Amino acid sequence: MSKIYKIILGVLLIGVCSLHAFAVDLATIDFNRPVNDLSRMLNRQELAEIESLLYSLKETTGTQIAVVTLNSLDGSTIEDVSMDIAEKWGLGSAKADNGILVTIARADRRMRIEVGQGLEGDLPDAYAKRIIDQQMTPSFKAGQYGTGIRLAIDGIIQRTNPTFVGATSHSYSEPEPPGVSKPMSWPAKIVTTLIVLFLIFTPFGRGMLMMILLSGFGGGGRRYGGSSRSSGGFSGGGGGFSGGGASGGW
Amino acid sequence: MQGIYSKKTMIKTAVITLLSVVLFSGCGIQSIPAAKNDVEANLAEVTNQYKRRADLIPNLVQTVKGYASHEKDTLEAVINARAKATSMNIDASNLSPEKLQEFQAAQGGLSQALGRLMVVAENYPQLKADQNFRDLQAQLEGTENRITVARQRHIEGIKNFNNLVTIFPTSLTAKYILKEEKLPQWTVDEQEKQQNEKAPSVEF
Repeated sequence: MSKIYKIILGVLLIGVCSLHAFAVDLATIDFNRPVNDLSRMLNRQELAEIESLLYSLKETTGTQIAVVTLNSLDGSTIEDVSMDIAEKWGLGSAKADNGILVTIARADRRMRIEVGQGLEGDLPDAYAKRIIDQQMTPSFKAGQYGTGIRLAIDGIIQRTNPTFVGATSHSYSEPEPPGVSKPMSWPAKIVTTLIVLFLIFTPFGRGMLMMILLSGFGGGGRRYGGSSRSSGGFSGGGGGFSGGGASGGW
Repeated sequence: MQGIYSKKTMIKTAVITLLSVVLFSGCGIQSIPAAKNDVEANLAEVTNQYKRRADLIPNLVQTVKGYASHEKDTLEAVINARAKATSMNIDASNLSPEKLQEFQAAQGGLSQALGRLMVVAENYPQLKADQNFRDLQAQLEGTENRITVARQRHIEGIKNFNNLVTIFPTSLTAKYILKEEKLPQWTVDEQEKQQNEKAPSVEF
């Protein structure tokens, strides 16, 4: 009996060791940002634009798209590496499984769009393949990586969230900073004036004003003390992947 | 046997049961059935994806026929392999090593027939340019990848279950309380081995 256990343990150990020897090192990927440009395919402006688009897509629609560019696959296939990253990240929510991962291996000239289980209906394999063949490949062949990645993301969003305003590259604009608000309508102005008067001219109102100011400063300190991006970065919600999507090369 | 050992066995079982519940709760009593459920779910996903592949084939055969009608042998081989593969069903209740082997062989046969069809398709530029064919090809590739993923997960699930069943201390729970045995594992059969070892064709 003990011999069998030893053999099993031995096989397990060999399995574990060999896994570590061949797999792409995922520790370099930051799961808190949408674009991990490890092989430097994007310039700063493209990176900022794409990240901001993907943040706002996640915040408004829940669809979570991430981009990872790698130098090399280290002997693995793009399918294995992509699934490895997607599973570890858990892109999308556990309920909706609405995550998508775009992986590009620069030295191997391979790319893959990994589609979460919940989006396989919106973005079938055939469309993922079309995006790779028709948008990414021509741009990549011309060395325009930023354009290719951007076109791919636009193509994906057009299938998954057609009503999202940032879907076409030209109509996309930076979301308004949180401090700036739109001009108020007149009923809102009257209500605001009444509240201000109440707060300033009644003893009860003055007490409330003090409390609001105090708690407001406390909250403000916390809000601006943290990272510039709210909503906890870009970590995954445990979305599931079953291997849907498409791969290609250039 | 029964007459001589029943009392002894009963006491032994009772003691082991008690000990197991007290000492090893959380050491298999819950995780073994959970692992088995995982294996069953994973197997359902494998068969589901194989079915998905089979469903794609009639369309694919029709499309190829449109451009390469005289490749009769290759097309017929696919149709026959599909018929053979779809006639076999496996589920968790009849999962014997032989059955799994048979199922695997049938699906492997279909994989090979499809592989040959795709090689043949390379010789027809018009077929390759057909958007419908390209879409079907992408779907087929996607499904093959899903099958690979589903099989990997099933293999992983079986390994996990077998580890619980064979490795101390959960092996005690498996043996004396749950009466679970090791499940048959997938193996790479000879056909597949040859297919995998073949050097990939180079495109110029």
